[in-house]
Amino acid sequence: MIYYARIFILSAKVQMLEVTASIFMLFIALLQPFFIAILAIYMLRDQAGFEPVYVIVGAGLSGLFSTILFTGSNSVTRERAQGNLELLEASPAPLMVIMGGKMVANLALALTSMVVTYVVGAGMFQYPVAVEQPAFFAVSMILALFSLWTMGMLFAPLSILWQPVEQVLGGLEYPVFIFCGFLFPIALLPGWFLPISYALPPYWAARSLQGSSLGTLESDEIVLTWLILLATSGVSLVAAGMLFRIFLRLGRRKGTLGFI
Amino acid sequence: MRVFFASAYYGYRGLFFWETPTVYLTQRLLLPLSGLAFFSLIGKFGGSQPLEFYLIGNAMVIASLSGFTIGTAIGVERNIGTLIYLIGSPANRVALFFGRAAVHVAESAIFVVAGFGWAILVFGLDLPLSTWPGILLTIIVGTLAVSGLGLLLGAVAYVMLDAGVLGNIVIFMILLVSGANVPLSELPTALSVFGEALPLTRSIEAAREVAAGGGIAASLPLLLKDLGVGLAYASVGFILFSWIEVIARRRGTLENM
Repeated sequence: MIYYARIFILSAKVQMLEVTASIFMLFIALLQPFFIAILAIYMLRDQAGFEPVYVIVGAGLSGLFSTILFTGSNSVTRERAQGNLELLEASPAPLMVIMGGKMVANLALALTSMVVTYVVGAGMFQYPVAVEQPAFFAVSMILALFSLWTMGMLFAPLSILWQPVEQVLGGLEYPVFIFCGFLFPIALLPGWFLPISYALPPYWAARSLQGSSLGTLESDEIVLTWLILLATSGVSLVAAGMLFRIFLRLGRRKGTLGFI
Repeated sequence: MRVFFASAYYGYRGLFFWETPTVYLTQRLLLPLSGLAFFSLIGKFGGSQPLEFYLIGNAMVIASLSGFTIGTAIGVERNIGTLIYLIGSPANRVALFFGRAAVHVAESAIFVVAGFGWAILVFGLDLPLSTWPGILLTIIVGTLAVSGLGLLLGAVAYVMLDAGVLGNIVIFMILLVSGANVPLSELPTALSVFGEALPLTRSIEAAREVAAGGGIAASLPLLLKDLGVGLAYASVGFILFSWIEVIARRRGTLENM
């Protein structure tokens, strides 16, 4: 266990150095949510009952998710491009533990999105930004980060067999923003889209974070949202474990782990 | 002319033709169409304008893809190691430079048409048949204009190593200040002035006028201005292209990855 923890921490440290040196990742984590927050505030500020905290949380979540989407799908691809994937797979450390550490570093970078959108709302636009239920918000944030970590773990193994996955998943950025209702309620979508939203952990993360920041959810509603968030995240993690096992076995059998 | 067409054809085929259909459709179609839906739905949720305003604005913003791909093409050439051969060739620079943009312009115009189709089919945008020629003209002009900015980005990409990020910043600036999502009159003065200086701003306005039944003739002054702005960017881009080429040779950044 200590051995795994050491690998997990080392992997996180190395990944932190890598992602913070990537201009593209810094754009995704800092600039994109910055622009989305400003744009959404300008678009929504004349709305009756406009809630700046709704936009701040929603735009922050968009940055969190985008960072995890790109870093998650890029984690294996990058190791492959550097010629490390075969070595990592051959080492006694499970690849899933190594990727788990990387994903924690990715989350740390992603968290800056929330800071950026807070600065936009409270600093640039001088809105009074207050969270109605701070304790619920804190728990929601921890669970949201866990759910995004599991999403990153789900994206990571896909590129073991399918190299262009990063570009393909990149195209899913806006659809996920839409289905998860980051900046508008999913009630605006046709009814048959709703099951897709309900199956996505970030939807429940957005619901609990926005609900607790606005104080629109009763305590039993928010607890139910957390439970569903945990359940959908658990499914993601189990699926990630299965994908790592199956794809690595197939990759070894086909001899494609070193393909660039 | 031969260099122009060769640059247009091989520049596109060599850099983008290898993409699998899934990657191509995801990046070139799903991403812009879902972007259109996302920003239009924000507008529908609480924007100050009717839904048509956001649908037309964001459909036109798809034209900025041409600027992005033209701008990043130089970066891709550098990554795959072909930039030094391009620079080392005796080909005419004007033909080479403008040829690079040709296919991207045509491709992006088609995607903008797809954007309008998406807005009509999914969101019920009402565009009478009589407005289609005018809309098509605004699409062509808007795409050409934003391609001029792409050529400028392409020139900057000679020395700036991550042109993709620069291209993304420009796309978000266009989303913010071109009037696609927020009327220029609702922006602070500095931002609205910046919006006026960007290509596409007037084409978006013209598209809205045409869609409202204003006719092509009424929107021609706007379109001519946008074309002029695009041409100005392309000219500055070409001058920079020639100048930066010398600097990049001197600094040795042509091959950096």
